[in-house]
Amino acid sequence: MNNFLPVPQPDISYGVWAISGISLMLLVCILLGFFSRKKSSSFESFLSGHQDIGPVVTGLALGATWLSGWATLGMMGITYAVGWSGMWFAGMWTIVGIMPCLFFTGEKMQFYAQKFGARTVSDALGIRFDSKVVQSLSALVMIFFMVLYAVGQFKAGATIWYAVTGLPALWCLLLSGVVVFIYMIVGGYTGTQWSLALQGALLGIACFTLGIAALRFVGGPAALNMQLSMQDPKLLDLVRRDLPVVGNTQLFSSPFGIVATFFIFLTMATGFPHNVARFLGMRKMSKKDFALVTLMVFLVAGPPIFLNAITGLCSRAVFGPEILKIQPWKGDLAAPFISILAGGKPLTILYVTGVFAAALSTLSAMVMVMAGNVTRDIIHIWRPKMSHAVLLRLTKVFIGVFLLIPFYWTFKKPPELLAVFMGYAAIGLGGIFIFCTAISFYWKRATASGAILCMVYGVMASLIGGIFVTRQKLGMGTLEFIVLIGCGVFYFAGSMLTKPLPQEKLKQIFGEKNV
Amino acid sequence: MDRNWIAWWGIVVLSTVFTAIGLAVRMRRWKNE
Repeated sequence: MNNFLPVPQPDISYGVWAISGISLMLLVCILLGFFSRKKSSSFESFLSGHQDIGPVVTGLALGATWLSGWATLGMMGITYAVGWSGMWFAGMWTIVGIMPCLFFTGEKMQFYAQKFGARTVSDALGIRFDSKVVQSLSALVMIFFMVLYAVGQFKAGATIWYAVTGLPALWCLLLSGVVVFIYMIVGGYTGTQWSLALQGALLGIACFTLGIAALRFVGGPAALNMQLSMQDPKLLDLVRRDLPVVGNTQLFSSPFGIVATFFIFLTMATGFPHNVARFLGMRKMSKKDFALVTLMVFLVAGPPIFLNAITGLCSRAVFGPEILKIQPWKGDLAAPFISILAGGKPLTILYVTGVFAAALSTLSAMVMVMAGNVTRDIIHIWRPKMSHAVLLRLTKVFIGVFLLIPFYWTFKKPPELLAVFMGYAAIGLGGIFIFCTAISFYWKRATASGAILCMVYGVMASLIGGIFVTRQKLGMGTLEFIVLIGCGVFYFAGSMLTKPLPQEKLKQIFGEKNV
Repeated sequence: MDRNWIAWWGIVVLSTVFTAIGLAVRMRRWKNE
């Protein structure tokens, strides 16, 4: 009874065109890297540039790091797999997440960078709490969760290579890894920031165009729902009550789980150090600058991402459940395949380049943060006499190390659905750093002990809770609340029960009149 | 328009309003800094 269209077979002509598109983007990125290389000769400037980056570049770069392979590939995979009920977890709360990060955390990060010379997010936390332990521990916690998130980016990049070339999984992964490695080594932060901006613009245009093209291909909004209904009426449900209320399906199957998706997005943008780090290299903002950053972020992270959920639904309407059978990529192939049918080569090249841009931008920003975390926040802080030349060299070595770990992981055990896998990292980072970063920048009473307790609890709860979710003993939405509420309790109780920073120190951080 | 599209448009509109209000509040605070 079903009249699904056949799933496109990867065809070398698409591969050649896609390689051309991606190569062009990378060439521009590498040129930007070389251009900035002369400037990034010192350890400090390699980590965070020269605080001279303007609002348009910062806005687009923030959009690019916020939107990863999850946004450009994983979100479509979710609505493809479960229908409309996947919309809640497929990026519909994108703006609710990124705007508070911009409004509340951005200016504070810039303040710590300019006044105290903070070069990493952990550096800023070390200054805020006047604690080396907080600085080093936060660096470790960030690395722990970002490795998970990096695995998702590798899978996204590799999925795209598969969609356009049909090469074996190992080759697809290798291609992703080599490209990131080259462009990270030659660029440093400034090159990355400029490349990120280019990639932000590209991924925004790509997702927006694909969403519109896919919807037109299925015949518009009414036709989309009619086709889904004929396939399986449950695909139209906004809450899939037929799915289990434990495990990751809780995010689609119960109102409780759906409310949790709101909080996951609300906390994670601020919790992602690679997002917050974007403000470290920015010049002092005027009101006009700030409005421009906001507009850029909205244009990249708003309309294109709202349409992603629709793209996944269109793919389901066109192909039926067939894509779920393709190992190991599964539902994450929903968007690349609909782009081939709905827009032919031009749209596919644009989209494929956009996904690659998104996955690479997030991966490179995270790898940069992780490498900086080790050298600046763990080695340098405890061994301050180590020369900056050695630290710079070590940072580059760690870039390689932090690329190889997620690469190996993705190769050995690629995650099933990107969005769900990356959701665990989002829950952990968001739950911990919404308190340790965002609230601590405004709440004077926060103490190092509160932050340490919050981090330790957050990691333990995410880790143990994650095991229970994968064993179908606990809902993923419930885990979000266990992590978020627990982190809050430990953070506030730990802070209230211990001595705050001395008045002198608080005056330096919060200003004379605010203390 | 069915409820799915109403929900989708609802979030799109609310997100836009959220951004506009946030920006307006931030701009207002700017004056006092």
